[in-house]
Amino acid sequence: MSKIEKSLALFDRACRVIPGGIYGHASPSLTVPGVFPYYAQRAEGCRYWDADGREFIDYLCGYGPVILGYRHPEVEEAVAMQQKDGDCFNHPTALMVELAERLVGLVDFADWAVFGKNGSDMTTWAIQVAREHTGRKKVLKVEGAYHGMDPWCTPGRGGLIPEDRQHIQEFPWNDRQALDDRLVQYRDQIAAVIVTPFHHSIFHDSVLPEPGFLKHVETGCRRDGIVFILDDIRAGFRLHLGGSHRFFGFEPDLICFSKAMGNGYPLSAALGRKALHKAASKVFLTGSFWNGAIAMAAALACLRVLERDRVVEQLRVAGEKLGKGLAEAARRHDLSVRISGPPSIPFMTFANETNFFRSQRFCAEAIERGVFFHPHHNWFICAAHREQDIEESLGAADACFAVVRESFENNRQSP
Amino acid sequence: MNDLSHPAIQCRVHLRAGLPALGDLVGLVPEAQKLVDRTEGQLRVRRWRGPWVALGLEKGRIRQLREEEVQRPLDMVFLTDRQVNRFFRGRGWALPLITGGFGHLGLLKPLRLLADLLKKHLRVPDQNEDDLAPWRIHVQLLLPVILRAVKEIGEHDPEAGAILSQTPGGLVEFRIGALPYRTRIWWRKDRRIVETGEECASAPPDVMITFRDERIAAAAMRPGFDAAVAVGRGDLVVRGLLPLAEGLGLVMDRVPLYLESP
Repeated sequence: MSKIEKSLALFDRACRVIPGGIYGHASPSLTVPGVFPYYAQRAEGCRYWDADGREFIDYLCGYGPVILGYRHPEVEEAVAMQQKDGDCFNHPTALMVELAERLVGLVDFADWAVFGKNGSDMTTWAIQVAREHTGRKKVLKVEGAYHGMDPWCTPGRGGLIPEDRQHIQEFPWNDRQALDDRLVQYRDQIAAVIVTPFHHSIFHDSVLPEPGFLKHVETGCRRDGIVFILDDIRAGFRLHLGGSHRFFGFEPDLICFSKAMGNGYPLSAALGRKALHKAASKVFLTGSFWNGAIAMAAALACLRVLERDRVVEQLRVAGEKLGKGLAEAARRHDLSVRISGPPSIPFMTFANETNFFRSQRFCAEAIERGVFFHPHHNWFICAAHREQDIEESLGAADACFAVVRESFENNRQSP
Repeated sequence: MNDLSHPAIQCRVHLRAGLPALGDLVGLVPEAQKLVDRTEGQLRVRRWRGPWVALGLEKGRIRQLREEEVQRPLDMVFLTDRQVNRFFRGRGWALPLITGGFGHLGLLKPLRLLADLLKKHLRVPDQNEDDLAPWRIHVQLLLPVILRAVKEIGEHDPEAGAILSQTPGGLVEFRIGALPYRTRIWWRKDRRIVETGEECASAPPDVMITFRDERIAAAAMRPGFDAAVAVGRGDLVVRGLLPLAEGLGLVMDRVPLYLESP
């Protein structure tokens, strides 16, 4: 009998009433189907349980939102308090004002904030604000960068028409010359340049910015009157509480947050400098659930804990321990791995491998041993990853490396 | 890669994806093999001043010939892409001109019979057929046709070209259950060409795609197959460089635009 009998039965039912069964980034096809979990049941701290009752130390954290750990008591208490009063009303609550004040206080260049539910809401809105402010159409983004699921940037192909991307131009990450060429080619036509603080593309190692690259982007934008947008949705609050630009030493005009802001409660935000206030007020922005009070209560509690407990530093330390431990364990088995990205958002791949066979085998074996590492997407550390959890994960990883070594013996390139 | 019109691409697909299937047929079906057991000769089918394919019949086998191997073939020429397409679709009146190799006119009859057999085996077997043998023949004939079609479409269809430009290069290997059968397709991104066939590269594959069995493989090659569902259920196992599998899958989805089901 399969270990994921219940999950497969659920999936079978799903396929009849949901296109694809499970769609988007949670699709089983993006992990190792038949081995990886399909459905979650419950979670606590750094662990979660799937529909078949299997327990995992989780290094994906809901794809980033769970920064403090699942069901963090202070966040849950704030949520429970608000739940007594309600969530979705005709109007926002005072929490919206409080949260906007809090975020504006945290982010050095920001004078205002708006809220949505998902990262895509904010990145797409930010593009529109830039267009409104500049009167221009074109947007520059990095090749392979993910900014959400709207037509201008979705990684999918279905339902797209050429006009969706007509004014979107790309340049390679860390390539100053290519950026400069675009700035010259489209002089006076570019509304915005949007970047992530480091390059975190699925199926690729993460790549940090080369020294001065993002400052170079900023300089070019200032010179040419282009709105510089930082998509901090994935990395936000994990590198610096005031935004990842503080970590890498540059300053955007607009910053987008989501994921970690509410420790799993759905919320996104965009913050901008004063000069964009007027444009921001002119771009229509709304959603039935966007003023929801529960997520905002969660975010206020989450930000409080992040600051009080210096979580950013905790994540860095835990991530460094994990990364170092994985590299050492791999070496013990004559394997070589790459640990890319900042320590709190690490990603492991096997050196000299671009097809992910070893990664898939390693991660599948890790699942069997109760540790969730994603084979293709960067990982996340949370504040609930204690030393003993890291040690347990490294113990499992050691066994996984042994299996990989044996399966790919004699430098065999495929299983 | 150069973009071509729909009829031009379809002509290439008919010639270069479809005709070589006669060689596969002879290797798989004893009845087909008997038809060419004692037949020798060469056949070249081409569009005038355009794409061509040459087949050699020798020692009970049919194989595709390289240009330097072609010698005095039975030369069948169509004047236009549309004529080729009408002929292969069996619609409308379209016969080729025979411009050479008149001594090999005797090839026409066995080839006609082979073509009928090929059509029969390219049709989906009866769903109630429990014996897997007809399914096995069906998929081992159809999959290479589709992959050869992907080559023509990938190199000449603008939409497919756009898809492949976003797809990492690499080698994909297809398997069916525990069968010893395998076939490959190689997206050579640096040269912007696609190569097909088991011999197309001796390097280890970057993606391995395994169909659970012959029926699943057959279903996968029909429009409407939901690969995501199949992967989730374990009917389709994809390991390795997933973006390569996805990109080629999107190009494969375009095959029905050019190749009708028999």
